[in-house]
Amino acid sequence: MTAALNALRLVNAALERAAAALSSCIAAAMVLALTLSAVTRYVSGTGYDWFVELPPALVPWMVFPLLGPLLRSGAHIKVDLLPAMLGARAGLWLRLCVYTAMILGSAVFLQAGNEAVALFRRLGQMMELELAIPIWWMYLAFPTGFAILALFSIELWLETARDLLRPAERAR
Amino acid sequence: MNAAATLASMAALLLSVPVFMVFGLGSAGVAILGMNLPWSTLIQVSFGAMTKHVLIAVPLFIFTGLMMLRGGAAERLVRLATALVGHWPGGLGLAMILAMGFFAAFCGSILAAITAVGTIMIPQMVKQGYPKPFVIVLAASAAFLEALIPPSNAAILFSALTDVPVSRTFAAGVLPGFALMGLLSVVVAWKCRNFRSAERASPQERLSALRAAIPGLMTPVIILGGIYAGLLSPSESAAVAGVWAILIGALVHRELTLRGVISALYETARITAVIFAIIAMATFLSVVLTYSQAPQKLIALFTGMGGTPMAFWLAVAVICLILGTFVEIVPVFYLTVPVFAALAASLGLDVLHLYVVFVAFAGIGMITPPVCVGVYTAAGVAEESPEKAFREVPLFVVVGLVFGTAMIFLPGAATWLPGLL
Repeated sequence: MTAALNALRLVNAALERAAAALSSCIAAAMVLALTLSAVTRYVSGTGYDWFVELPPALVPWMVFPLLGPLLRSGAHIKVDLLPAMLGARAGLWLRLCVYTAMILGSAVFLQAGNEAVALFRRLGQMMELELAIPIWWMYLAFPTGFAILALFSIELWLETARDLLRPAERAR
Repeated sequence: MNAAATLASMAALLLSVPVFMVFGLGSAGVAILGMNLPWSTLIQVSFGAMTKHVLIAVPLFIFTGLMMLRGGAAERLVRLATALVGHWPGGLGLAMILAMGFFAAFCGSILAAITAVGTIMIPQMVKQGYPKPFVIVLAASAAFLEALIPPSNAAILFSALTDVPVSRTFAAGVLPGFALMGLLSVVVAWKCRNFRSAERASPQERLSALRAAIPGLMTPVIILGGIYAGLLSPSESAAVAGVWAILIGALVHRELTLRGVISALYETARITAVIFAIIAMATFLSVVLTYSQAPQKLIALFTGMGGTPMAFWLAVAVICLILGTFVEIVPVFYLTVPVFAALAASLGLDVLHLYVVFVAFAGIGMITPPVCVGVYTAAGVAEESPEKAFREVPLFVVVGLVFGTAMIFLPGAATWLPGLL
């Protein structure tokens, strides 16, 4: 279990860095594109449509790849009532249940996202931007994000299971 | 199927499964298994919701707030507020409310406001003898001004759900925002009447504080001036404000570093991902509601029972209070606003009135345990246990209830200013 966990940690650390870089670049691109939209419209009187249309198309690639890292840092919004009431060991069991649900949910949405991407790819639709971008590129963020979430959920599940199996060592 | 999915979702929520996953699995279960809808439809509608142009303003206002914080503008606004009212009875408490009001006028993030203003004000107030638990809950309550005073992310989410122009929703929050500032100030002036700074800022000190804060104070002028003059869309105004915040942080105050900008961009992406993951998955729920015609059925049921506007407001208040206590405000928006808006329209009520009443009651949840992110954040800034702060919560809950009730009976507070536009 430890070997699998260590391997997964390495993969997830790389994924987290990549997701952080991608999402930060997209946030910067949004600020720049919309500022340039205002400036070019003010200067030229017309502006460029894709400055306005690009940021919404980038949102899925900013959001979905971060689902996994946010799970690990406990940043997702949840109802914290039960964890506050439980003891340490019961809390570990609860976390195991949560991560099991996250693995199952991620698998469902990964499969669903793959089907949707395949469909949009077959349809060959393009985004309504001045730059012709296939629409499935945007939808690809969905299965990608849930694949990353699945990997992080498995890592957290394994960590919790290990803690449950070795409570004495953890206490030391 | 619906009952089973609802029960499973409730159980998953109680088990502390992240809300976005609960929304996604519960709604998709009903849509796929109960209504035979294809995944592609659900995902297409979900992407349509999260890529709405108006919603792009949400991350950009968060970024602006973070830039103001890291670039030193927030600190100067707090100093200005302290110089103006710090010597009054309860002066530092009033200064905190005023500073939150300033910060609300360029930032859409409640938690960024607590961090920005609280980091500076909380230690000062504690040093002057204000009880730490009171200061923590005051910071969390005053930060709620962010949800009313434009530009507010709550207003943007509401507009995205109801298709009301953001400029009108922004305008609807102005008077209620000032009313809440006034109400909180009265409470602080009464409760902290014995706390007063020995030193009063001289006119020169006030002028100097004002000069230092002017670049920061220009930000709301850029945002709101740009929108209401028709020069900028809400998202463009947010982006321009972000660039302005970078410029004043780097060139005027000289406190902003490249590392600060990069970390703010990542922080913006993280906060956005938390909010937008819920938006993406809650849209599955709206698909289910649309296909099952639930809003229409609820309207028929409500009118069949002889439902009056007052009964509607009571229902909004109670549901928002209960949901707001256990879930944060973003999921509450997506869970209830589509149905509330349909009911309000059927009763001939102004949807902007609904916005203010909804935010007033759902916002009380920011300070009520167990899910009170405002108190947790302020307690983190104050380095105090949140549980100790909980004893001060009832006073501010009463303030919230008084404010929410006043907003029910004063629809003009929400509708007068948008009516002038």
